[in-house]
Amino acid sequence: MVEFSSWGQLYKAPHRLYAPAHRFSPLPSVTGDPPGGKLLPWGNGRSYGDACLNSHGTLIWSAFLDSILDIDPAAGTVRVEAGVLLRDLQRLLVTRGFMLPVTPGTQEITVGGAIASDVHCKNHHRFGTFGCHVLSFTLLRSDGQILECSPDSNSGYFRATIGGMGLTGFVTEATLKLRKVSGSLIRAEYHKFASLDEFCVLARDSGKDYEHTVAWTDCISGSGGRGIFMRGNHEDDPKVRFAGRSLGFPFTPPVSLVNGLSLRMFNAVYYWLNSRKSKPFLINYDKFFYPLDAVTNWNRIYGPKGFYQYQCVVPGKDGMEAVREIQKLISRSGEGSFLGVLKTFGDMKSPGILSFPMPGFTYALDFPNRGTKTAKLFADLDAVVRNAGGRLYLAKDARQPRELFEAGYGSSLEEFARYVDPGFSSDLSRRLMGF
Amino acid sequence: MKYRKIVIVGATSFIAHNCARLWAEQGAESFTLVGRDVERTTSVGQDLRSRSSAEGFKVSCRQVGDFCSPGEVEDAVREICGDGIPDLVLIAQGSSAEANSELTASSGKLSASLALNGISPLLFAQAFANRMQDGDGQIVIVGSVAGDRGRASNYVYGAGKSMVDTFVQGMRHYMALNGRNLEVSLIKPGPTFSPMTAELVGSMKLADVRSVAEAIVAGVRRRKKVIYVPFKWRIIMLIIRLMPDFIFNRLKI
Repeated sequence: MVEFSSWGQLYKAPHRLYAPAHRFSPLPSVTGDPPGGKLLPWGNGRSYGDACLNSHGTLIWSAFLDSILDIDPAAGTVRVEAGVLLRDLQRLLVTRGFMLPVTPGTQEITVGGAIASDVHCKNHHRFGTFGCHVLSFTLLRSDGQILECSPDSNSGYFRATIGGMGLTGFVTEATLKLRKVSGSLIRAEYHKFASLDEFCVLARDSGKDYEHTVAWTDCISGSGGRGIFMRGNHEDDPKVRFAGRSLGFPFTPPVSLVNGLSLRMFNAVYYWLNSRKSKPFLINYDKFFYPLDAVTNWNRIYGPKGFYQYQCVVPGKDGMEAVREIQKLISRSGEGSFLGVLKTFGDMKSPGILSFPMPGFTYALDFPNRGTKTAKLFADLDAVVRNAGGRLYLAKDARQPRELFEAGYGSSLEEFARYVDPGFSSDLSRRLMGF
Repeated sequence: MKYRKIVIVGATSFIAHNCARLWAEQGAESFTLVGRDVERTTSVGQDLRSRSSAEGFKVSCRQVGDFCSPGEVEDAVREICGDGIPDLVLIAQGSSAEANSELTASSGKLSASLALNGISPLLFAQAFANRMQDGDGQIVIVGSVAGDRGRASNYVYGAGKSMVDTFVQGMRHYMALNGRNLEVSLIKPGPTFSPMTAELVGSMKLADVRSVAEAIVAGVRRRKKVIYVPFKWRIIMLIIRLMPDFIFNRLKI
């Protein structure tokens, strides 16, 4: 048994570990002797909550499935094994004039993990989710079946696996559609805004001319709602660069370094520095998309009790009212958030049955784990999300009550359950879905 | 320097595969991959092709069913050298998957382990050396720190690897006496993250395979004779080798 924890480091749990040496290896038996418990794929452990944990069960680790099997420049596709890190793939693709159309805020995740969480990017309004660009994949089931899945074959499994949190089987390889780029640079602009109304104007005006849009909000400044709106497009310049080596956070401090004082200082400095970049400037893709990857193990800053990320989506135009309410509740609670990322989701639909995004606003916030105080705030935020008809992102979640989950994903759950592999399970599925 | 023809014996070895990736990214022109399993060896070839930066990149696979059969090894090496003498040969097969106690409990397993970890790499090394000794190529063999001193926990595996060590010393001596430029190097990795060691995750610190591969590729480029990776194992093994028996025999290492 090996102790594993997720990115939020909220708890450690013992797991059996099985790392197939190659993609042709069969899955271990679920009813083995001694029984290894149910199975769950493990990629790089970057989901925040309990989606990647399977306490006392077995993790199928894709670490050795890291080959890039084919790049087809004419068709603009790549075929990869599921354990390939997006970082390694992007570095190679960008030298060939391609990129993955959709990557999340970190590139330290595997292709299998990106499919399972159906991740999104700053360009959701143009390119949808990661799953919108998956052409096909191979799915191993615990009963020994090997399913080739695409929109045309085993399409139910295809749609259930995208955003299916690893519960439908183990993906061994996938074929992805790429986008053409020339070079690795992004032409970016950062604009400060003083209120959420200004954010809405910037978001509306930028959607048409800018591929990437996202905003950082300062949740603890008194006036409320100020922040930095970041937008950018790929620059037509064949230069290819990569960010230098990242710094590491070397140890876990005994208490969270994120507290009221450090947050106030950080937010003030961050706002001041970035509010001076309103003129367009060139920035490399890795620094623009994945700023936190510059500090490996940044999650340690929250200390031994770990932290939560709360990411919700609130639909439609009324969603902004919910965002305002959320900001008010956070400000009143005194539980500030270091990161407050606000973004507009477009209406491009993912094939994934349990996919998180829907048209509206998504808001992601990090909170150190302060026990009941944090839980109280979350209960208040849950009520706002629920009343607005929104839902929480499963890749981030460690604590939402089952009724909020069912309200948010309700209509899809029955369909999803049909494709779940009975030999697979996770801490998240046991908590929210009862299997 | 760009390699024209690289041969990897035991190409599905995780360390060898990661070294090959680096050479492919650096522009090596062709690879011949020798392996037991065609499907898996082909998969390594596809990965190298995807990562290669060389124009007209070529990769071919040669299956060898029994790595310990002198006849099969000789045939494969003759065929591979028939269409061009390689400038770099990496020999990486081996297995430490079985526990020492399992190997010592069965003469058959004991013999098979010594053959795969000791004899097989040397059959390949000598067969290639016979054809390469007029040039200035390189033969690189993956040994192990386990070959530096016999220890209760893994002396069967260690014995195979120390046989390789002695053989390489002799080959180097021979090349020096005869004024040959063929370079024969030995790599001694410490415990490295790979399918063979995956079950040790959590109980032991394993070196990251990418950095191990980077150190090997750099050492090979500088034509070093013995490459310990990570470097700290040179010091650790020096201490273990020099340790007197009255201390050594009390340590569970």
